[in-house]
Formats: sequence, structure tokens, C-alpha cells
Amino acid sequence: MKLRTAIFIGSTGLLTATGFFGVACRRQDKPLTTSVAQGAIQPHEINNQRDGSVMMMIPASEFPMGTSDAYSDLPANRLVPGKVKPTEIKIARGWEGWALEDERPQHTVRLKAFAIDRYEVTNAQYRMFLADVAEMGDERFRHPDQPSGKDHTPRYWKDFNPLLKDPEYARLAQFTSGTFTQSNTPVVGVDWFDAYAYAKWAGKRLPTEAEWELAARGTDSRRWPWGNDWQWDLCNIVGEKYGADVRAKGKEKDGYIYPAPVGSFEKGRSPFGCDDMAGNAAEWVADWYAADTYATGSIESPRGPQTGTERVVRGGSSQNLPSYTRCAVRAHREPDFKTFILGFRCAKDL
Amino acid sequence: MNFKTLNFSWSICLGAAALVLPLGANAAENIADPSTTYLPGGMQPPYGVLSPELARTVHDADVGNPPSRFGKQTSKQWAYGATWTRENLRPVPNPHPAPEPQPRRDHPFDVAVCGDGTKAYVSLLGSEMRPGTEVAVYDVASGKITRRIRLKISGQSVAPGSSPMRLHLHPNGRHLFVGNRFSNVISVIDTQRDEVVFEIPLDFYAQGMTFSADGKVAYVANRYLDEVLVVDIDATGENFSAKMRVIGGLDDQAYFAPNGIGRILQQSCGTTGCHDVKRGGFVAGLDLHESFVSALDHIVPGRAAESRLLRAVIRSRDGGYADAMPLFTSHANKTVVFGDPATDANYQAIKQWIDSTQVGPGIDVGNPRSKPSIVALSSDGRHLFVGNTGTQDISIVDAQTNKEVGAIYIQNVTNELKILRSPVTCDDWLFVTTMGVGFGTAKERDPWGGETWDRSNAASQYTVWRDPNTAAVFPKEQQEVLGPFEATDGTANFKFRDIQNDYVLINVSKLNIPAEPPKTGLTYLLKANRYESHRNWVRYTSDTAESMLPDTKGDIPPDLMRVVGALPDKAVVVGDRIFVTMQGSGEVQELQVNVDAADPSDILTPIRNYRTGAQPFGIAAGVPGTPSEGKLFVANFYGSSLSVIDRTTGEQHELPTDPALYKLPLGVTSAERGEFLVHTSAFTSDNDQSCVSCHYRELSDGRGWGVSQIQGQEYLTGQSKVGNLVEGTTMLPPQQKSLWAIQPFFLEGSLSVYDPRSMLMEHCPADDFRDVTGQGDFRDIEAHTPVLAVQDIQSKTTSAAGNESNLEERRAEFFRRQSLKYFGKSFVLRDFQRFVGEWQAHEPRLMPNPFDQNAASVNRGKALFNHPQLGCVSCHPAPNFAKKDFPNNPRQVVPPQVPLSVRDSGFTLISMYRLDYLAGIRHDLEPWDAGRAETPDQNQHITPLQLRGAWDRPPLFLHNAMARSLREVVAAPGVPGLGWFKYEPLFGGSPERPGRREVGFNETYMIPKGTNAAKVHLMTGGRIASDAHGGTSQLTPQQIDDLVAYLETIE
Repeated sequence: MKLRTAIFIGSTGLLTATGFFGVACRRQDKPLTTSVAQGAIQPHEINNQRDGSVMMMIPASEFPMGTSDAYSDLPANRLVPGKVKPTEIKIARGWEGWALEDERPQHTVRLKAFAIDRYEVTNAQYRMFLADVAEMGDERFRHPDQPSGKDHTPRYWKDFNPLLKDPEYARLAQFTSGTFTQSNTPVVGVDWFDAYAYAKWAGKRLPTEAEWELAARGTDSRRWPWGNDWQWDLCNIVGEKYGADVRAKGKEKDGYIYPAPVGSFEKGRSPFGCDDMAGNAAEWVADWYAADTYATGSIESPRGPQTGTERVVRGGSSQNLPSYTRCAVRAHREPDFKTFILGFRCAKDL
Repeated sequence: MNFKTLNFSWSICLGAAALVLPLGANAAENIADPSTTYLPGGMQPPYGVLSPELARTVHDADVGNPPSRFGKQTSKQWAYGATWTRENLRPVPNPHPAPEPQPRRDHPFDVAVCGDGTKAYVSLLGSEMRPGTEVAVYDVASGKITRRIRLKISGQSVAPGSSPMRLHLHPNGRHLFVGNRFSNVISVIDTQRDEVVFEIPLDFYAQGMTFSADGKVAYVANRYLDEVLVVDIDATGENFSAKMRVIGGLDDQAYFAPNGIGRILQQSCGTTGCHDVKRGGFVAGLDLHESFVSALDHIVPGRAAESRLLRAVIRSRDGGYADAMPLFTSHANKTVVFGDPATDANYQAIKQWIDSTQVGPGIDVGNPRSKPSIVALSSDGRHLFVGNTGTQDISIVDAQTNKEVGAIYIQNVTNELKILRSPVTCDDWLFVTTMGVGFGTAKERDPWGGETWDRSNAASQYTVWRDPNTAAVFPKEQQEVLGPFEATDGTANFKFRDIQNDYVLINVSKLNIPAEPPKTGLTYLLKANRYESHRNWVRYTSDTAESMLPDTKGDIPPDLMRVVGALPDKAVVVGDRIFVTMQGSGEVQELQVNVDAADPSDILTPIRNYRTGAQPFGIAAGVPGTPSEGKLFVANFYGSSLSVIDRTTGEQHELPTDPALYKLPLGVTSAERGEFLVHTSAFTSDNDQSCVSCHYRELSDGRGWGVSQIQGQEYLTGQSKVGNLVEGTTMLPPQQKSLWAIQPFFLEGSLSVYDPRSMLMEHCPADDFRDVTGQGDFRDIEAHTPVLAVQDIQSKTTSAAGNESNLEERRAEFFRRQSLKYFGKSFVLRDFQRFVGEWQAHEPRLMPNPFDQNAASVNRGKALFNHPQLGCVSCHPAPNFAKKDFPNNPRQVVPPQVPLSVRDSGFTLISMYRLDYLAGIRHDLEPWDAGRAETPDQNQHITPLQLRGAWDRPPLFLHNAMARSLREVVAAPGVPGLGWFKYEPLFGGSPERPGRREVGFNETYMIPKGTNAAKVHLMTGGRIASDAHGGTSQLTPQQIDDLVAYLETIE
């Protein structure tokens, strides 16, 4: 299978399992420049035959989930709603972005061992799923709440913009009808029900929010998968803006307008060896979203609220600024929401 | 209370260099709301007292018309006791001594087709200086304009209706309603007789309207009142009649009744020595008529908690200020009149009287200055949707109770609303034409990626101050770190790029609209300010959103770029099709609608575009089964023409509404060409935007504006082509009106009136011509002569200094071709600068002010404004209300009197003349132009903003657009005179005023370092002492409102 070949090229190679069990760590304020800094973790991967995916084993761990109050700008931006002073208007505007209240309080979470996809699910993998669905239907895979008559075809595999038929429009557009269908790029334009059904088809499940965060940042509470300092060339985010060839990598340019082939940013890999946990495609996870989950939820293998109206989305995307690709950022969308930067990866119990 | 008897201990010395604020810590403790603590470095407790002489001056000025019963400033017709008289507002005179003669253009604005489909009617708006008074009639059969209907009832000796704007055909298919912008009537034309048969007494500035299904009620948006006026109609039979239904207002009968409110006030306040005669601006004596009029001055109908009448006599713990302001402690001997308002029967009776009504005389919508322009009624007639251009939202009114119950946030002006009903679910979808969410707000905050004060962060951002002698950028060490983002391009920030054009569709049946206004206050039920497709709402944007080289790529869903054209405005629905006029690009986009599409991205499918004349606004469709079937009629404002489009062939037939102007070219004078340049997208590289994308209706779009984004970070870091992502500062979108008053410099004193190069370059940067543009491929063009490249960051999106002559030549060729196409002559950038300058300066284009100029509150406010203790006239003297003749100040600009941040002070606009000077080019214009460059010492000089036309602007004030009301401008932080917003004002979707309370900005400085506050203060020369923006902090709540009332009447 082409995909598997592609995946193994550029990987860190097969590493031996060490039986590592993580322990809770205080957040390190000193810079962690790459995942190597967290030297105790030895990434270990397994293969999933059904969809040909590579999965990283994550040992049972205890880790600080969420964001602490300890970063330099936050105290300077404290705001008391209802008591806003003139000097604080600009802070008020940005308060939601600065306060990040749904990431707090940072709290210790214990998880059992699990495995998670090293890469976001690709179009090639999703094609296999669709082929099976076309053949045998999705009765065995679909979520009970899935709307009847639902089609699992990703939005961007269809004729997603009629104007592309106009040569003048196509000439200027940054995308083509094939931009989002490449085999090695993450499947996007799928909703939560698609992701759920795929995972079940593949003999896996969607990761919980806590599992996703642990896989992304390890146990040392790092800000991005590679460490605490932002670097422009470690993941695929927005920012292609200063003329010339936006596809050429460079300062403030990661070389990709839309989601890149999975595994394109080796140096941005997470401590557990997962790729593209920051940027590229944002990812559905299993949990319902609630802003106060961290204050009220379980700390033992948390699975989020029992019900809700929106599911959690993690990791940021090729559309986001750096802050929104942090490991702790929690986005949320209605389960039937689709967009061009939203995909998923899967997990499974060990 | 009697001002004359008070023993003031004031220490203000007029003309002194400093104002010693007499009340220190004790006064600070008395400030109840919103905060008692202030940052060090400038802000002080807003206390002091006014001179007895000033109080006497105000007292003497307390003459004039009484206020209305409706709780807001109005035209004089609503003054209590006044009777309505038909009136036209007079155009604002042109101060230009020798204006360039201009051809008379009709400026058609709207079009409607009569019920039998035989005729189309075109409103001829005219100009501000020469308003139109007619509606043209187009005969479909002959294809000609057959007559012009003068907007008055035949035989009446009155001036015709002035400046006809919107046209709406009554559901009976016969009567055409004409909203006259400058008249306080709606003219009703009988389309069978083609003459005005009725005039509906109303108010000035009627905008869009809609009818109930049975035709018995019309809802009319009124732009200046921020209200929707309700008209009851009887159109049965041959006799047509209609009358405005007055809503809300304080009940005078309940006041005058025996044992009514008047008696209660008399007993509570009107005892001898107190308010038995007018003291402190209030009287509650035996004369109930007099006391009612006085009470009106102090009451907000429906909102007792915000009414000064009660707040002045209860404690701060109960929401009042009787114990918090020195002037009011005399109420009941330093206690309060109503010690326990919760149990006081008199207090409760007054409160009930106030709360039992609402603001009127129409339906009050949105926050102040919502500027409603368009209305649509739900299919069941239950909800009225009101498009607001000032507050960038859509108010939702319960049409049964005539109360606003919520709103939808759009984040840009609302030009059109249409209700589309699902044939499957019977849900109502609201179709909205607007413009982009980009530009003006941050898409997302980025504290870890550059939005920081931490200099150790590699992504932190800095000022780019330059040496005025060389234009070279100072080293990074001499720059200042910028901190949080301010106004930016919300699509992910690149200067003016990604200014877009949007459609929004919202399933309003799924909005959970409350039946009553929530007790906890009005809220936005939906923020439709993102490019996303949801099951119940979708926002589309321009096809060219990311097409140009410097546009930010990949931040807009490709499936949602379906809007083709610039500046979408009016629309018409025909079956499953919507046709939208594109006023910027001169076309109509046809879209197919399927609100039940399986994928919400597919609700709108673009079908085709039709050409129109220049600047199309109104559009109407032919009537099925009549000669007009299959035709579209479009009113072309700048083209002064009517376009008739055959949908079958796609052909457009354009004919001038005035045959005398047949074949008159589009721009025959410099000012006309300038006007076209400002309004069209034809001269932009992606044909997607124009000046009025931000200067909406030549005012502003109601958003903080990021013209001065800091670019050139590469100079700081030694790079050659690319630099850090940098967000800009927030600044006020200056109006493009009355620039005569502030010439020669405008735009914060940075540019001359003939120097709009920067603005044009944002729309068409030379860098775009490195690649194929939306307007063509110019890459085969090279320059004959290399030009000396100066560091003109405004025209280079990369800020790169290098030989850019090829790019300049390509752009020049593009300009030559376009101007030849549109003007019949070939022009280049320098010509364009002159054209725009001529347009900007040759007449004021101000709208006549509808407010009662002789209201007593206005007269009191005028006395305050002109009093030297306040100092308003120091920088805003009549007649232009902007000072441009500072002795010993050759630059004619002043240090700022308003809050600034380091971003404000770090902007990099640099005069084109300065750049030319550095390049060896000399001009004889503005010989005093010393550079206007940005250095730590010189960057904070700005032009005093003019106050003319301020009444007409969206709710953004101060140079940095921080204030949301005039009251916020003149009041200091925490003073009791600050009011409340109905909604939390939003900036890019984020609340700016948590708690809804106004924030005063007077006496505030926000310059953290560098040129510090003290230095700025010294640079004011003591003109207004230590007050930052006039000595208004000491005003009482009523005086603040009076001053604002006067500011609202400045024409």
C-alpha cells in the first residue's frame, strides 16, 4: 500500500517499547526546544491492519491537563468584568483569547495505556472506509445519533465550489478540485459522525480529549508538541502572507496553504512520536464540550460530559495563529459541522 | 438645589498650565461605579467643581424648546407640546469660495416596478448640495423615461419632497411609498395616476421599509432616530390614508392626574427652597406642566434605573449617586430623598410610571447610533428584522409588542435583508448582504505568537520609527514592543487585503427568539461573524478573497468563496433566484437559493453576473405575466442611469434618467473622477474593494480601523523580504465629508488633502503586479526607466526597498487602461491623487442635521461647549469645529488629546511629499511640510478631528475609535453621568464593555513610556490645563448630557 510506504519514510524508525509509565510533572517554564528534551519517553509504534495506520503506544500516565496561570502576559491582563477601566478596553476585546478559561484549572489526569494514530487519517485511508461503506452500508459503524440518510463522503471530495468551473476564477483560486483529495493529506470536510464511523470501521475509536492532549504534549505540560517556544517551521499554520511564492518555506512560511501531507514536520513531533498534533488539520475527539469540564469533570480517564451540543476539536489547523495550535487549546463544533481544515485521528485501548 | 447658593471651593485657574484637582482620596472613595481604582500615570479621580460663573452661564442658557416625551433627542416636531409641520431640511452650505462647477446628476438610488408590470419608478436622490425632488417613470413598452413625478401633492404650495431615497410598493400593487431623506414625509404615488396622492407625516431620514402581509402596517427604518417607525395604512378602495403610530413615551396624563406622578414629585422634591422653582436643572413645583417638561429632561422611558430623576436622589448602593457627588449630597441633608427605595411607595410609583413605557416615538433598536437602514418581516408577521449599519448588527423586534427582543451580530454594515421561506420546513431564512469580517478585528488572539509585551518572545512586535531626515528605520533596540493586537485584518491580518464582500443566510426560525426582552438585558442570539457553514447559518464571501499575491492564504473555506463582485447592496428575490447589486464593481450577481440543501455550503449557488451602469444600488424585478417579466431594473447612482437587464439574453440596456445628460462621460470634472475613484472597485487589483468599503456611505463602517498597521519589521531584524506578522493599531475611520474644514492635512495630520497615495495603494499595491491579477496579466510590461525606490511601505506589501520600477510601470499601465475605459482619457496615479483631493475638498457633502437646534438642552450644552473652563473650542472652534491655525505651530497639528497606546504612536505612515523630498523631488504645495515622519518625538502630532457631521457617524469616537458614545468622550472614568448600553458593544465579536456600562475617556492617558504622558501634557501648552480632552470631567450628569446634546446638533 502506497500510504504505508509513505508513512514509514521519514519516521523515526521503530523503537523498542520500554514499558514507560509517565508521572506527573510540574510545568517547565524553561524552554523545551524539541521533543528530545523529554528524553525519558521512547516512542513506540504499532500497526493497525484494517486501515494500515501506524499507532503510537501511550503508556498509562498521569499528567497535568490544561493551562496553568503561570505565563508572563496573563497577570498583566487581568480583567474584572463589569469594572472595566479605559486602559482595559483593549484587554476586554482580547480577554476571551487571553483568559482561556476553558483550559483552566490545570489539573492532574490519570489515563490508562492506549494507542493513538501517529498521523491524521488520510484521504487514502478514508477511501478504503468509503469503499466498504458503499459495499456493506454503515449500519455497523454509525453512531446512534447519526442523522438518517447521512452520506459519509467528505465535503471537499465533491464539487465544492461551482465557480471553479469558470476558468477565470480557477486561474486565481489558490485551490483546485483536487486540493483536498490527495492520498497523503488528511481527510477534511468530515463531521464528527464520519469520524466516529471511520474509527469504528477501523477497529478503533476516537481519542478522548485527555488522551489527545497527553499524546500531544506528554507529561511535562509543554505548550506545543516540540516545546515551549514558538517556531515557524515546525507545523502547518496560517501565515503565508508576504508575497513571493507562498508555497516556498521560509520565515513565517511553512510551505502549505491548506493541510499538508501528514508527517511533513518531523521536528514538530510530539514526545510520544505523534505527528501534526499542532496545526495542519484540526481533529475531532470523542468528548462533548463543556467550558467547565476541567473544574467539574473526572480526573480518572475523563470522557467529558454525558451530553452536549458540540464536540471538542483539538490541535488547531493550517488556518490558525500559533496560540491556537497549542496542545491545550479546546475548540468545539456541532457534530455535523464540516470545514476544510477539520479532520481526525483515531485511538484504541491497549 | 441652587447653584448660586453653593459654596464652591474650586481651584481651577483658567489658562493655567495645570489644574489642581481639589478632591483627592476622599473623592475617589465616593466614586461608586464602575471602579474606584485607577492606574498610576495620568488618570485621576474625576472630580472637581465648576465655577459659579459657568453655572450661571448654563442657567441663563436654559431656554428653548422642551424635550420630547420619548427619552431621546429628536427633531423639533417631537418637542413636548409641539405640532408637526411639514418641513424639508436645508442642504449644508458649501464654504468653498469658488467651487469647481459640476454637472447636475440625478443620482438614482432605488427602483420599483408597479403591480401591473408596465412601469418602473426610479428615485432621483440628487446630491447633498442639490437634493433631488422627483421620481422618474420608465415605460416598459416604449423603453423610455416618460415622465418625472414631482414629489408633492398637486395643487399644494409646498416644496416637494427632498432627496427621495427608498421606493417600496404597497402590497396592493398600486401605491408607491417614497422615503424622502430630507423631508419629514413619505410621499405616496398612485401608480395609476403617476402623481403624489398622499403624504404620510413622519420624520426625516426614512430608509428602508416593509409592509405587513395585509398591507395595513408599514415599518420604516429611521436612520437618525435609531428607530423603526410604524405606520398604519388604510388602502381600501380609492381612498388612501396612513398615519404614523406613536409608540412609547412618558404618559403625561398619569403625570397630571390628581395624586399622579406630578403630585408625588411635588411632595417629594418641590418643597420651598428645593425644587419649588428650577434649581439644579429641575423643577417640581405647583405648575405640573412646567414640572413635567422638567422631568422629561431626566428620564429614560422604560428604564427607571438609568433615569437621572431617580438616580440623583438615591444612594450609590441603590444605583444612584446622591451620596457620591458633592453637588447632590444636599438632597435631604446628606441622606437621600428616598432612603429605602425598595419600600418607598412614592419611589415605586415613579419607577412604575417610568418602567411602564418605552423609548419612542418608534421602536428603538440597537445600541445608540445603530443607524438602521433596512427592515424585513418574518413570514408570519411576528418578528421584524432591522439591519443596522452603525452597530453592525440586526435587531429583532417582536411585532406584536413592538419591543426589541434580541439581535444578530454581523460585524459589518447590513445593506439588505430578505426573508426566504423553506418550502420543505417552512422555516424563515434571513438573507443578508454585507461586507467582510476581515479588517478591523483580530480573528483570534495570539498571546504566544506575538501578541505580547515580552521582548524575549521571538515573535514579539515593535514600532517602526524612522529618522525623518533619511526615512531609515531606527534599530530594534530603539523601538518599543507593541503588546496586544488591536485592529487587524480579521481573516489573519494583512493591511487592507482581504477586504471582502459577504452574504449571510440565517435560519431565524431556529434562533429561539424570546417573547419579551430578557430581564437581564438584550443579548446577541447569534454571532454570524465567521466564514463557516452551519446547519442554521452560513456566511459566504468574495471569490477573490485570497487571489492576490499578498492576500493571506488558506484562512477562508474554499467552498464559501461564492460572492462575485464588490460591495453588495440591494437585492431582489425571484422564485429560487436572488439578484444582488454590486455597487463597487457595477454588476448584478444572480444566485440560486436552496435553503434545504443537504450541505449548508450549497445553499447559494452562483449562476452568473450581469453588467450594469456605475454604482448600482436599487434593483427590482419585472412582474410575471406582464411586459416586464424576465427583466431586471437597476438604479445606477453614479451612472445616473437605469439599467434594464434581459435575464434571457443577459443583455443590459442603460439609459440616462435625464436625457439631457445623454452621452455625457462618466467623469467630466476632477471631482467627479475623484468621486468615482472613491466608490468603484475598478481601479483595484482584485476588483473587490474600494475606499467606501471602510468609509461606508463616506462616513465609516462602524469598526475600529487598522490603517496604521506596523509594517517593516524586516528592517528591524535585517531581513530582506519577509518579516514578522504584525498587527496594527486601532484608529477612527475618518469621514470623507467636510474635509475642507481640516485641509491641508487629514488622516491624523499625516497626509495632505492632495496626498491620498497611501489609500489608493492599499487597494492596488504594486506588489500585486508581480503575478497575474484579478484585473489581468501585466507581467510582460517593463519600465523604461528605473525609478529610485524609496522605502514607501504603503505601496509595497513586502516593505522591500529595491528597484520596483517594473511593478510601478505595470500598475501605471493598468491605471491608464482603466481610466481610458471609464473616463475616456488616460490617467495615472498622480492624476488620481488630484482627483480624489478635489472631490474631498470641493464641497462638504455633509448631511443636514435633523435634531432640534433650539432645544433647551442644546442651548445649555452650547453654553458649556463655548465656556473657556471646558475648553472645547480651543481645538474645535466654529464654524468648522476643527482648529487648523495654531500660532507658532507650522505643522498645524497638535499633540493628542485622547488616549493613545504605543501602537497608536508607532504607526508608519510617511508623507509622500517627504518621500519625494528625500528622492530629490520638490513640490511647492505645503511648504511647511516638515516631514510628518514618525520619530519618538514627533509621532504623536495629529489633526484635531472635526465635529461637523459627528451626529451622522456610527458609534466610534476619538482618534483611536475607543469611545462608543459622545458621552464616553467627554466624561471621565467612573463618573455617575456615564450611561448604559442596551447590548454589550462588540469589537470583532468580543465584548468591549463587560457590564454594559459606558467608560469615560476624559483625563486618561495610555502612553506607557517613550513620549510619556507628562511630556504630552506639557506639549499642549497648558491650553486645556491637565484635562486631556476638555475640562468636562467635573460636569454633572445632566451637564454631560446637555453637552452631548449640543454636539449632536452640530451640522
